[in-house]
Amino acid sequence: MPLKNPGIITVPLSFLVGIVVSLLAPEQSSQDAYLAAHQRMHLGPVGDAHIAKH
Amino acid sequence: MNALTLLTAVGAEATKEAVKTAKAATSLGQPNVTAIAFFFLFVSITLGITYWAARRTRSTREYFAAGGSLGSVQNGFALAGDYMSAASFLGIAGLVSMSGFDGLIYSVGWLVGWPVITFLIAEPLRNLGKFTFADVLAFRLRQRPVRIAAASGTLTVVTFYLIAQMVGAGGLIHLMFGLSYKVAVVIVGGVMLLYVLFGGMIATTWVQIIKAVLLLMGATLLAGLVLSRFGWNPLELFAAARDRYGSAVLAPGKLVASPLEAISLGIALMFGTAGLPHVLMRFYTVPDAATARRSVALATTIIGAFYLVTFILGFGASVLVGRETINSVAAGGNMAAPLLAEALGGTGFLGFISAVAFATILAVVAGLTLSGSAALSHDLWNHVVCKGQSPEHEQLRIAKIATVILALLAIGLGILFKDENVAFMVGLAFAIAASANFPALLLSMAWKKFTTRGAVASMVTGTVSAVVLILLSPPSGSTSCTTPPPSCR
Repeated sequence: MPLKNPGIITVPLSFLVGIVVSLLAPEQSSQDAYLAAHQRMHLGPVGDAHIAKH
Repeated sequence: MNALTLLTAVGAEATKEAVKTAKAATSLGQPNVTAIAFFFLFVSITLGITYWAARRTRSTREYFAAGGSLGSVQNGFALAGDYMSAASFLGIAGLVSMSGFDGLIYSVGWLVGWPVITFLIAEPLRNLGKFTFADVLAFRLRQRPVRIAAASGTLTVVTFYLIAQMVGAGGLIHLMFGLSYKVAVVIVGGVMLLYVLFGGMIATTWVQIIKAVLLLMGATLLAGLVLSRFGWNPLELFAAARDRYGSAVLAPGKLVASPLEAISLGIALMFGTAGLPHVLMRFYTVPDAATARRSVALATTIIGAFYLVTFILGFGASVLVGRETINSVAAGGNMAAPLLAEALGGTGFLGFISAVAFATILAVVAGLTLSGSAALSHDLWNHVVCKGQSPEHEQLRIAKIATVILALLAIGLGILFKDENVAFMVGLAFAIAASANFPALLLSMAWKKFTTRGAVASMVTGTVSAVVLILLSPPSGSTSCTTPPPSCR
């Protein structure tokens, strides 16, 4: 292993493994919860309350 | 930078080795009255704050997140204080003094990690989580597996980083104050324990704020003294360095030999920053995403300014103190900034700078310990063991027990790993943070199809591959904090 710091290998590898494993075995509950997560991510808990009202 | 290099290179036939400084006598390593006085002043003020903070720390939200009540200026300074370690001060200044322009790679790598946090991480993290970044993963993935994986990642990073800081602290304090290594490690661990155990995030935050202000003041003052010798013109400083060491000091050189090596190091430094648990945790101390965003902007500005200043210090030390003298005190150049302080401001200023370095280490280890304690109490105890049913007072008690254990661990490992290569430990911590924590965190925020299994697999792969590849990597060949900079970051 010639590199002193392995970042250029391990960071992409970690992304790749995460993506491949996710595609091999889909998880419905995670996809269902994504919308809520997405809204909260950008609007915050306040956004949550607002959306819930409508 | 090219323009700068050209400018300073114009009309400059190398009159190398023009000046030779006589080997300066230094009082480094002897007990320094000013240093001890400043250190006691710092410790008494911060312990006073801890006492005040302890009375306002009754809930886990106060203990881990300062009640979420900090403003953007407070959090901005605290983030900077959490991030700028003694090593970025001593290490980068030393690296620049010994290698010139090349020393910038660490400053740039560590600074460029901040826009990654600003644009990708800060707001979602604040909006989705409560105390730890595992909260973000657990928002839509299955709680227990992702929390176990994320807490393991956190604790691994915290442990290696703590060891590195403790070993670095022992070595530095031994050099600066003449205290024995073990005494230094025990003092750092003990004072840090008092801050975190009793004052939680509120005390830790104020320690970091005070340290950030002191570090900025000290470094800026020192840089001012350097520039005053060169007519307040940095170009004249660079010209003097070129006259003495040749134009190679102003050009990229041998420090990072291959482009691949440079990119790889850059990736670890950048994405590692966005995966450091103690940095991520600070985003929960503000009331909302807007404040989080403003605090990152301020932190980035402070850190960027600070790295520019250390660049001046590095060149200043190489010209005004001389590489031979710096290297004779500590190989690798880590004592460049203190030596410069002594040369320009006498023993008193050296004492001030030494005390600032000590305070700097205290603030960083406090932040690290608190983030480890949150992973143990909030992620593992409350959500994994008790399935989220642990009562508030019990979580707080577990958090305090975890803090004591982590502090003892830090002291013990610091003494045990005395001769361990610090660069190796920090390399490991950053590589694990970048490859274990960052990909899972980003994918969980950005990708709809991400799954629990994918997250766990990604975090395990990141940790294992980083550890294995670093074990197989070529040795950087030096021990303790007297090594090149990555060492004591």
